[in-house]
Amino acid sequence: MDSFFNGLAPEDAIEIESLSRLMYDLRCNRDKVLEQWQVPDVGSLLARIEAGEVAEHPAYEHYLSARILDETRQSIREALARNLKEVGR
Amino acid sequence: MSLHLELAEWLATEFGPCLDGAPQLMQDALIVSLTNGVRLEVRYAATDAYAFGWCVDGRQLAIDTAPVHADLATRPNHLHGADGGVHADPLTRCGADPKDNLRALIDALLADPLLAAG
Repeated sequence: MDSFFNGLAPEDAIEIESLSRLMYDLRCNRDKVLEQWQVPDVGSLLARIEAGEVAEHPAYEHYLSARILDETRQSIREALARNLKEVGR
Repeated sequence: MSLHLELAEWLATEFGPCLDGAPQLMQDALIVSLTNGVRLEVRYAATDAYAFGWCVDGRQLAIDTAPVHADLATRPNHLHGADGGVHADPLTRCGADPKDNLRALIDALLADPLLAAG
């Protein structure tokens, strides 16, 4: 991993490391939300809400949270890809 | 979060004097404190998937789009009122511009956080 950062400007390395850490945090937090409801993905949680298998609240807020965390992670992934391209990685 | 970020900036511009501090961006929510003591939690995943929750005098109110109240005219969006009941949503419109929904809600909360007058 250290070699990955070799030759990068310090500010680029810091930004890449920061975005990578944020992506990891977002995924962990999404996973924690879904684990509470014992579902593998957001669609499954919505299905359980619609079927009345779980109470509407806070399940629906958690469903939205998981979607937002997923979509934010995707945005960060795209930003990271742009950064890596700019620095030739 | 990019939508929440956009909404936070818009709220600061549009409702600045009515806000008790800058909107707080969490990873999964936007927290908005109004000068009348209302603390509003916003989760906006898409124009047809959102939830607003706020607490007044120990009572929890919410508007959300959970698809579980088929009998309501505004399905899927609905209001969990101060009386504990579930009602048609008098303020927001599923599919509308998030800023329009947020404006309608905040205008209403500034006038009457319990939405009792409406």
